[in-house]
Amino acid sequence: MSASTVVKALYDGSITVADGTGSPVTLVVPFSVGDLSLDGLMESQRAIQAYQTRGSLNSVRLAAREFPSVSFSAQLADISDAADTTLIDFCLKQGSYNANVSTLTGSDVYAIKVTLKIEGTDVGDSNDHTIVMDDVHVTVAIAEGEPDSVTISGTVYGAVTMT
Amino acid sequence: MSALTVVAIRQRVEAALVGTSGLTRSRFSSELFGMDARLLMHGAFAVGAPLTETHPTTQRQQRNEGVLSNTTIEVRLAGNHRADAQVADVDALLALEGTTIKAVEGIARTDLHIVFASAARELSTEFEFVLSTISFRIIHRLALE
Repeated sequence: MSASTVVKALYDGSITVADGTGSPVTLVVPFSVGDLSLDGLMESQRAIQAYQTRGSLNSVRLAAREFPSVSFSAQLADISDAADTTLIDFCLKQGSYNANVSTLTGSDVYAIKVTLKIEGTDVGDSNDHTIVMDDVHVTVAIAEGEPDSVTISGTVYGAVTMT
Repeated sequence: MSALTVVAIRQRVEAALVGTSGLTRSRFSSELFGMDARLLMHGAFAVGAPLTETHPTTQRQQRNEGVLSNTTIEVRLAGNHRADAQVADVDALLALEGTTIKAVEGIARTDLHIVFASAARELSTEFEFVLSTISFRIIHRLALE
């Protein structure tokens, strides 16, 4: 199967967040603006340490683990509710999502799974494409503007799986 | 915020003005309104939607969500402009403008925002009427499916 030759754009994407319940609670992020950014991916996912003496490079070695970061934003249509589903509630484990379960086991940190799906079959690819980020701890930023926006920023402590 | 069509927005504005004292809906479209002063009357108005464009913010344009858009709604309004009462007539038109702006701003905000943009005045070709064009920017999600 040859690689797709169709360049993808933000119009092809959708973002889904999921919790760690057996049958995960999911939310397709409403009004996501198409600016998801995933940074810091590395082959080893570890920092590189260059050992030098007197200007000579002696060894280049793997060092501490480093974690990718992810961020995306959405137009703000709703904030929090005990029954209605909102992105903010999902990320903060409150309101209608207060029973969500962290994807991180053995931890008191609430983490979620973030999936970017990029449509492929509609443009002739053999399949859609996904980037699945496991165990993401997120923070939420809300800003007024035209339109108001909510920005989710996170650190990916789990695997990043791409198809 | 549910997605709206442009015609639904134009009709919502027009419906609000039809019930406003001192205003009479013209038979003419906003594009032709005022071109023939013989067919005007004091307080006549027409509502048009000359432009809809995507909101200048990055967005995905998912069909099921619609696309955040700005639609310009123009209310065209005519007022008498009598030779012997020109200033008073212009004031009367300005008062009508005020009534119109308040009526439009009083429309239910269901699924849209209404932002006053401008009000411009000009005389008809033979100076019998003062014509006002009041523009509003309607921020809404444009229905894509």
